[in-house]
Amino acid sequence: MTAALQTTELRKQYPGAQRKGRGDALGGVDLTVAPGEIVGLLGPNGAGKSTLVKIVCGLVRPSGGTALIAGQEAGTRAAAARLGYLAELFRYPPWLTAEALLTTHQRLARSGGGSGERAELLDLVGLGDAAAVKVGSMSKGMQQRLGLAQSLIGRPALVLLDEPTSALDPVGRALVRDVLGELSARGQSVLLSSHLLAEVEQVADRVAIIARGQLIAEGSPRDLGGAGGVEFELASGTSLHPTLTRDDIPDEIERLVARGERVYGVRELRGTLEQAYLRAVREHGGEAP
Amino acid sequence: MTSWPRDVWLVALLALSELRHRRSLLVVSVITAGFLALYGWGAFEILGDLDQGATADLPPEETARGAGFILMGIGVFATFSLASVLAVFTTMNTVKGEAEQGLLQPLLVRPVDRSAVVSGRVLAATVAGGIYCAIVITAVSVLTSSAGGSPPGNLPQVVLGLTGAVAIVAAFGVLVSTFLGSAATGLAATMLISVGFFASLVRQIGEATDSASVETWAGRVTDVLGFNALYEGALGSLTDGVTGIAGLALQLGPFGQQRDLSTALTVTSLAELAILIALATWRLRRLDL
Ligand SMILES: Nc1ncnc2c1ncn2[C@@H]1O[C@H](COP(=O)(O)OP(=O)(O)O)[C@@H](O)[C@H]1O
Ligand SMILES: [Mg+2]
Repeated sequence: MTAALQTTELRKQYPGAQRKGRGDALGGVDLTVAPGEIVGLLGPNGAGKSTLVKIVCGLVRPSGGTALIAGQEAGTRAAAARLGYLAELFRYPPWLTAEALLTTHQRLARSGGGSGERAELLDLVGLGDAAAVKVGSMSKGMQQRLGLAQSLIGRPALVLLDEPTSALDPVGRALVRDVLGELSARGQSVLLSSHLLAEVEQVADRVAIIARGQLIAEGSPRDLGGAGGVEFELASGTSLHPTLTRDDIPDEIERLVARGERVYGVRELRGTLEQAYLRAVREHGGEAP
Repeated sequence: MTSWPRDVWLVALLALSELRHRRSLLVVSVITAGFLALYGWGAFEILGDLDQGATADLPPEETARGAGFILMGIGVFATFSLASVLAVFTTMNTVKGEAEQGLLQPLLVRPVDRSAVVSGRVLAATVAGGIYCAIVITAVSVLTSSAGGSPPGNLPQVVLGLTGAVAIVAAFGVLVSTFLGSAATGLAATMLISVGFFASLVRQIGEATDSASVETWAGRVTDVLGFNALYEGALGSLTDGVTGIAGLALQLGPFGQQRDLSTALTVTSLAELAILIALATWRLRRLDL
């Protein structure tokens, strides 16, 4: 099956970056997003997350390498027809109502979804009552939710979200998580750029960490976290065995029981994504200068 | 590219709705009303004085006609200036200005060709400017006739020439906006119009003083600044078929050179418009936004 997104050796050097002594904003990134997959793109400020996303949606021209969206080269109209995008910094014309904004984008995206699609999307992002509200009188959080609805018009194969929850409260963030789950269930793919680790950990099937334009770690949040030992709940209290893994659990229980201990519970611990992230980023020189 | 005209129209509608919702239309209306009041007052005063036979040894009808045409010349000049300002303001933020605010990106990631984005903006400014010119020129002509001046030669052609001039100003505006932010673009485009007007005057002086090189070089500048050639064409259409002292009065009037709104001028103007749009499209395709 064609990947929703496949980047190969993707490179970007912004004009004048060399003169200013800065390296490549992206230094050859290979990243694949499978259909229906939610991939979290993590990295410190200036790592190149937005650059990657903008190349994919055709706003930035790559200096080298390729990016294919459902098999179509980034920047072409065929690729644009297969993606939705919510920018990190965006504004919509303040005089448009939510309904009018979505109508405009339906026309631009050639979506034949009509009023049914608009109502469904507004409901999905919790703006069901706000169809007639003008963008200009919406809070930043409402605008961000409207932006999310806008990015979903026409059921794009790939949805690119660049820091989509920066203006949202915890309720709004939970809502975005639900929306992402829904998209994945429908077979749509999501590339979610963020620096909110906990959030990405909860929703992403896979995480890619970039720093200084390089992909430095990739995998499911669970794999990336790595083993964190096993915890046993005994009559005497909990006891942590940091070197044990899941496979060691049955033997260890037998040993404990043979020793006369009573085992009330067992928990396999995982390193957190945060630990993995900090480890990877520190190893690779941290934030861009 | 069957959907290209549709995309151009969509972008134009968006730009026109922006014009409608910003304060610009109010400002334009108030200032235009002020100009028309001043013009009407001036026309009635001047032509009224002529009625009392206060001037020269020319037949009174001829003097009145000459004065009427000079007044219309003022009207055409003022209409061109005001419409150009309108065109500059509807186009100066097209690319860099809107990109800085994050307004442009949601549009550009849609499956819409960049040439449609550029052309749509130019079209919007042309439609707005054309309607504006038609209204103001008609008002000026009515005021002049009711004050006792004679009606101009070819009113529709005057409006057509001015609309063409506005289209080229708009295309310059969009092109410059791919290099500069809103304010700098507005400044550059407005100054370019002034240079064009200055070149037109210099060429006229060159002609009057029989200075071939001045005439040639100033002529080349007005040719390159196509809006200026069209403005001169609109001025020329005022005296279409008008002979005698009245025609002469305008030819030597202080509003720049006149020329015929010929087929050749139409063709070169359309070519210039196409070149400006192509250049702006090329720039827009290369920008990192
Ligand atoms: N339009 C641009 N022109 C020049 N440099 C840029 C531009 N956009 C981003 N950069 C640089 O590219 C690097 C990566 O930026 P960005 O992709 O925005 O990072 P992130 O989204 O991960 O914070 C940074 O060093 C940034 O300064
Ligand atoms: Mg970013």
